[in-house]
Amino acid sequence: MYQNLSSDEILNKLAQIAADPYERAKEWKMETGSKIIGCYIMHFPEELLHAAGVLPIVLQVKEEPITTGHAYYPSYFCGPTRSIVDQAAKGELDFLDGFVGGDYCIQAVGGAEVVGNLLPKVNNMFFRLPVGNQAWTHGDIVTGLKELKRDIERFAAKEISDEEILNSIRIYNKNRSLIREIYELKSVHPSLLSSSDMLSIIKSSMVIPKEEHNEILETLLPKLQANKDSIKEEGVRVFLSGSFCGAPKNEILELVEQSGAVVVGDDLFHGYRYISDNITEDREPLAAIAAHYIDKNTNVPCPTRCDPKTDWPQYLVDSMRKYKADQLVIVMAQFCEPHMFFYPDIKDAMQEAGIPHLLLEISHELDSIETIKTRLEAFVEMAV
Amino acid sequence: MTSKSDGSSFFTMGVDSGSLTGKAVIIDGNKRIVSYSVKQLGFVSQKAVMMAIDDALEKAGLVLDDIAYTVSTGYGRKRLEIAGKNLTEISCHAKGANYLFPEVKTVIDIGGQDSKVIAVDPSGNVKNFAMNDKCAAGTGQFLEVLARALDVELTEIGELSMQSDADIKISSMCTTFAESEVISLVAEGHTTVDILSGMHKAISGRMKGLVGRVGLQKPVMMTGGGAKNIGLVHALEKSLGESIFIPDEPQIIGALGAALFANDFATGNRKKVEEEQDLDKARAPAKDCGTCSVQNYQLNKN
Repeated sequence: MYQNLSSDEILNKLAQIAADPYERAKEWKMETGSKIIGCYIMHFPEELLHAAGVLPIVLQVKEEPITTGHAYYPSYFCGPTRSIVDQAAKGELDFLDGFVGGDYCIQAVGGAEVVGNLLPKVNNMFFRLPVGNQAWTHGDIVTGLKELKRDIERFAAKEISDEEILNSIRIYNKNRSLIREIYELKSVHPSLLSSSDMLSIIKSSMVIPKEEHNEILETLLPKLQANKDSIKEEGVRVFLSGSFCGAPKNEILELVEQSGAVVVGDDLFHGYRYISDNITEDREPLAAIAAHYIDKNTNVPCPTRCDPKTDWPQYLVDSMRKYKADQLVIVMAQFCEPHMFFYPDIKDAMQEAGIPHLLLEISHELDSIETIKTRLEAFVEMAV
Repeated sequence: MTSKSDGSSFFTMGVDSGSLTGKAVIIDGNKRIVSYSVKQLGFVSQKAVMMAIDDALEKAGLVLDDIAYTVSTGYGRKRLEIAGKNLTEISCHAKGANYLFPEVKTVIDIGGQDSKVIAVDPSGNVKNFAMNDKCAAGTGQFLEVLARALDVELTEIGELSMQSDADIKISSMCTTFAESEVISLVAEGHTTVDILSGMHKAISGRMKGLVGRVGLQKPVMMTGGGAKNIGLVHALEKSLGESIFIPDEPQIIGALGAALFANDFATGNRKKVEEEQDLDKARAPAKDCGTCSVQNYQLNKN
């Protein structure tokens, strides 16, 4: 159905899906009569849920102001958790059949508890993902996966076979591989796609069936490849970092580009972090998924994983060089404790490496776009 | 006929469309200030900007067509149609401050809506900066609100606050809450003079934090309307433990920087200057050779 569309038209379709992130899932539910599980950002074995025949979607931050949710979650907690609590309080998540929370940060744990209370008809599950990277970590993660598998099987009223999990892994691996190919194209031709386009690609992948998304990407990719030589490259090369759980606001991404920069790479959750590597297909599936949690953290370190063997600041320094980036723009969700905890080390590492960086702490309500604009423009002017 | 080599009949203009005031500066080809104007009307007022431009042109005995190039800066920078280019006030304050005082390393700009701390290199380029994030606390707007609450003219608050020996603490980081805090202090019977002094201490404490984010390097210059407030300057000098250089007309530094950029653009000098001094490389170290120890060394030295 996307074959006759141009790459821009396909990207527009993906942007529409991303702008109204639960609509396709609701349609899918009507079409198939199957169940939907909302994953409360950030690290979830979507493959395992998919193998049970349900549709896992990653719950998305909405840009609308938080209103009803104020009564249930304090305003000094991060935007992503507050937004999802707000959606639950407004009844916008009533279409969900199941919900999986996690414990990677204290605000996410609390948020999951509140959402559980606000959605009494939704099956509330929990994925215990142990942190660290010690000798026992892999085994611990496998145990967490087994606990979740037990709950999902009860929820879906079916047993999940290894073969089914492996099949789901293949589908998800394909999606990650396709998106990585687009990333490779963009790193060489950064103006080929805007960073908002990249965001639409990833965000839409999180909320519609992966099989459908794979089809769209298989149509999109050759069209992008065909366009690449007609693109003029100009601008200060910027690497984007941060923005855990929630997608960075399109307004911010657009401001980066309007300031005269091109985004050559990122480690955003709604970005490269989500697809950085595949799950091995030649191992017992749960062991493979557990290994993936450790491996992907080596590729793109996550501050919530508390892995002593990875070094996020050094990863950023290396990425700047790998992508020949001039400047680093850090997008931090206001009150994001894991990110705040790491920032001083990142700042030191950047200063030591002589890499200019700009920290943008973004509140959910985005109260001062003008100030952000001035800071971004001044930052880009430094390199012109 | 325009003679660029002589410079006396070649003019560029910088216009700073600030949140509370409009400023225009005209310089000649030798980068000498020919005229300037500062006008205040309302928030990001186009009218104030046009008045400032007309006034500066009139003082210089010029018309708009005599201006070879105009650069705009400030909150309303993108709305000025006569500008060939717009640049942020951060870049422009750095440039203007460096022109007046080439040794300056740190510029503190307290404007109407923003406060900024800028680390400047010897060529007037921005090395680093920090800006107040969201709230207007610690800005000109903050002072205006509180001066109104105390029923004092804005131009008087500096001198008045200098008369106080009291140590009143205004803790709030928020303009609205600070206003109610001030009202409480009035109700408790504290004098206006003491409250003003406390207010300046609160702002200087806040600015000290902003300076800390960039790193204090001497000499320090203060620009923007806030620099006209002697009480604030003294409080800031005390909290930083450094003397601060105040230009004669601190409000026009952004527009002056913009006029200097306009001169660079009009004469095609901007890139040439950077190439000569090799600063481009130093500011974008990861471009070609991120591992180059020489440029990292330069950056750390600066």
